[in-house]
Amino acid sequence: MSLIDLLLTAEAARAHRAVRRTAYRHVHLADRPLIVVAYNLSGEAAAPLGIMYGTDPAAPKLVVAAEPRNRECRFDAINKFAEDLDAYVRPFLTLKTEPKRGGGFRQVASGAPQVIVPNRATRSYLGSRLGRSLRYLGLAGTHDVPEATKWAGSHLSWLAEHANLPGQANFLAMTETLSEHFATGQSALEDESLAALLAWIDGVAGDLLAELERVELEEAFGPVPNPKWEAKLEPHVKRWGDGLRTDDAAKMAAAEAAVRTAVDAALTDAYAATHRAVDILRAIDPAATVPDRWANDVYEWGAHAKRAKTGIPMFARRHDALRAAAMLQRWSAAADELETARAFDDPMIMARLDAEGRCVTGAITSVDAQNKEVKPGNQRATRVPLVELSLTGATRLLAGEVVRWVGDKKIRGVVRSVDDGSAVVAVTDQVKAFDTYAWSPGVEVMFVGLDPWEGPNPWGPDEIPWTHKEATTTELAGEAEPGDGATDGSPDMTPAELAEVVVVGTVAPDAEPGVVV
Amino acid sequence: MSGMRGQATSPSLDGIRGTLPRARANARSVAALTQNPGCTRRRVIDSAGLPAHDLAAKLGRPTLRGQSPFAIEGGNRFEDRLKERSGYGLLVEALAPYVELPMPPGLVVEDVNQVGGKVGSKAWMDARVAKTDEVLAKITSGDSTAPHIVDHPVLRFDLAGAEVNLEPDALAFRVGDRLELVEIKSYPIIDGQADPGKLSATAGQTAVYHMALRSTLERLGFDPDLLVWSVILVAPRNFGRQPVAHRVPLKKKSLSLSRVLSAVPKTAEVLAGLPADLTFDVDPGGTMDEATLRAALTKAVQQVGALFVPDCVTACDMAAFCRAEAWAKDDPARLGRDARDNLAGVHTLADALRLAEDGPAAGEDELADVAEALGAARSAIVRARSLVPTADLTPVPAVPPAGGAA
Repeated sequence: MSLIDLLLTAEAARAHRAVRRTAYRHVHLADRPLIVVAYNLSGEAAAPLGIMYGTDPAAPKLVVAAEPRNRECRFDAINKFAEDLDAYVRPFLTLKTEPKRGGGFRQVASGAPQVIVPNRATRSYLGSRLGRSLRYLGLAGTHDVPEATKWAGSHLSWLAEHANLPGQANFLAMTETLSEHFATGQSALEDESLAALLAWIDGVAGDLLAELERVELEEAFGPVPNPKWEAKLEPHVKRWGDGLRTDDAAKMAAAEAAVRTAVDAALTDAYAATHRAVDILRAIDPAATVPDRWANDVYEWGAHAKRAKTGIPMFARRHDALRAAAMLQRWSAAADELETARAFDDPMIMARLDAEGRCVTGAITSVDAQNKEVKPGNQRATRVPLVELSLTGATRLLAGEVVRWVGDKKIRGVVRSVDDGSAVVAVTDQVKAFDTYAWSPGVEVMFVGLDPWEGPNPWGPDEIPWTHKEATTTELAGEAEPGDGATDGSPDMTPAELAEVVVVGTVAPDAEPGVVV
Repeated sequence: MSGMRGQATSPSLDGIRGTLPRARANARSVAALTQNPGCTRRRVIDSAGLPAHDLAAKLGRPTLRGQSPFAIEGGNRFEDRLKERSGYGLLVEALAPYVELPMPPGLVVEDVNQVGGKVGSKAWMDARVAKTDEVLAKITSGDSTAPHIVDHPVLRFDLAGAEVNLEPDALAFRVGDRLELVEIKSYPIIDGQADPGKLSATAGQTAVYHMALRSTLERLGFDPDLLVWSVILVAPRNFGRQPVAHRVPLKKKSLSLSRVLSAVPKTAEVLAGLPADLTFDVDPGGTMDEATLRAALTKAVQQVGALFVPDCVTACDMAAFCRAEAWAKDDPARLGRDARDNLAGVHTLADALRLAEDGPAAGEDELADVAEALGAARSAIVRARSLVPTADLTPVPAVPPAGGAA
């Protein structure tokens, strides 16, 4: 936690209200994002009890599986969701042709989907678990499912992978995005609860701590439901299985209705809260580079859309080492770019660098705009304006470090000298742009020690780097079979097996499966 | 257990517990202790064998954690299928890549639960400990009739002066080979990868078993290196119920655990700092109404200091109570270790703001460095805020502090 974040947190704690961490919004928000909230049956990898989704805050759709361990019941719900997800995504698969820079044409996506979920856990559940569980279905003799379900598995898998790219806006978790924009007076761990975050941001009428405790005990925005709620749900789920075994349609319908009512009530809160989070963010002005990042999202989505022209895009279980290395490099480059872009976009983020001593900040004492020097490799002397500052904040930058002017990041320079109270910056690049600004004594200026690479990536790995040659830390990193679904198994249980399921009821917090008591 | 006799001036663990029912320590509580060894309150509650979630409920701050009945049921079924239902055949099959054991009926299993006596009683526990020792002796002495699988052994372990009983899921052993620790979990391993948080919790928990098993072997006079430095995790593979086994290395975790535990103060030292008449059994007769009980218990519990950090919320049943206390004290540690370290010597968040705004007051010379850094950060914020004329960048006025612990 940086000192800036610490102070913002302390301010929030004092006010019992969240404090803005940034001056601008740093993610793109689509006009009609698809909001998805879900509950999974605990103890299963991907067996949804219910999924609520929609683009309209007032009209969500809900699919419910009263006994997700039964195949028909589970896929009744999943197939419906998949169909709607597919319908939402389909328009973005259309490609359009546009002229390429330097001649020729290229095909690009006309837009990209934006799926928004309440928290990180739901994002990983929906993408890496539900999406993964659907994408190999129908292969190698596994149970077949409708085409739309396989498409949904593919789209969710793309979203899951793309979600790793820093700065992406195709698959957003509101706890993550909100905490990037707001500081609360609680820990980052507690900020993973969307209900708690909203209590801090919107404020509560009475005692905030009491409200946070209530939220923690009662609200669960998925994918893991509240255990006490689950204990109440358990008999209904059991009843559905009993009805199936005895072929008692009325019993099954009654059980299903009870489960639907419970899931509906719980997920409606989560759905409304996620929309609320989007509204809060929408009210903040977007930062300057947000459209660039969204354009990159659309560009990357275009690769998926192109693959989709020839059938459902497939995904490997695991990337091979080369691809893994390439992706890791792209993600870390994107993380660097994002840090730089956000810092230049947003003074509140630049302030972090300032407080860490990564800037030279001060009032101009003198400017020698006509200074001429022979740069390395040059024959003639060129203009290198010198700006002398009287420092108003401490800096850790040393002489020789490359800096950029915060007002216009094209203007690049070098710290020529620095001591306790003053510094000299020599402007080496974009002197013409430098001339268009007024550099008069007394003006406060800030140079930051960021030097983003703006060309193409020169270090693309073309062979497996030694770091990826062999996984040695744990054997868990080994063992993955070629990509078919034959060995996935499924959470299906026969009616006879369902009959054996015991109703456990409320569980003590220290209970552990398998331990005799 | 816990026959701790403190000095005359310090309370005894039995006295602290009084007539309250005894809770059993488990590997999770030992792991929790090692995550937050500085918390005296947790130490006292664990050592005295108090049920923390009951305490928390009586204190009016019920535990925030809970377990899903579906997850518990699923976990029980999975373990049952591996063991009883398949005559341990499924477990043997899953373990095959790491230990080759004979399939039933050639397989010898020792179920340590089956020792007679009332289940859950002290005698039963003692019998299981004795049985485990006996079986371990058989294994280490190279007895050819030694079991291949020891189901639910009980390891008695001295936790900084207090005894705890631990129950790993199973041990696997092949004559002439080494001893393997086995842990059965019901979370899935998808394409060879488990949820990192859950995997790390399992590693923490099994490291405790590992350490306890090593010390049991030492106590019995055998070479602890008979035990492999890892655990075989058996969990459902992908989305089904078929088990898959993976070896998880434990050496680093187990060794660092031993180091942490050898550094935590002995229970006797912890008790020495507490009032001699301390008891959490404030209402042995059961005559108090809820509010009186809460007040009396709050007073008793607050005599023992706590160290609240954010992780407590996921690991400790007392978390809500301690958090409310930390709120009332405005303690920076509740934001995390980072915050506490960055604010070394600053005891409240309000002080941090004051130092940032006004610098150190007279007599706060030792805080000059922190104050300077905070001041620099504050002026950076002020500068940034002045650059963007958006009203809601500046926080709303302070509200009077509320939400005290009691």
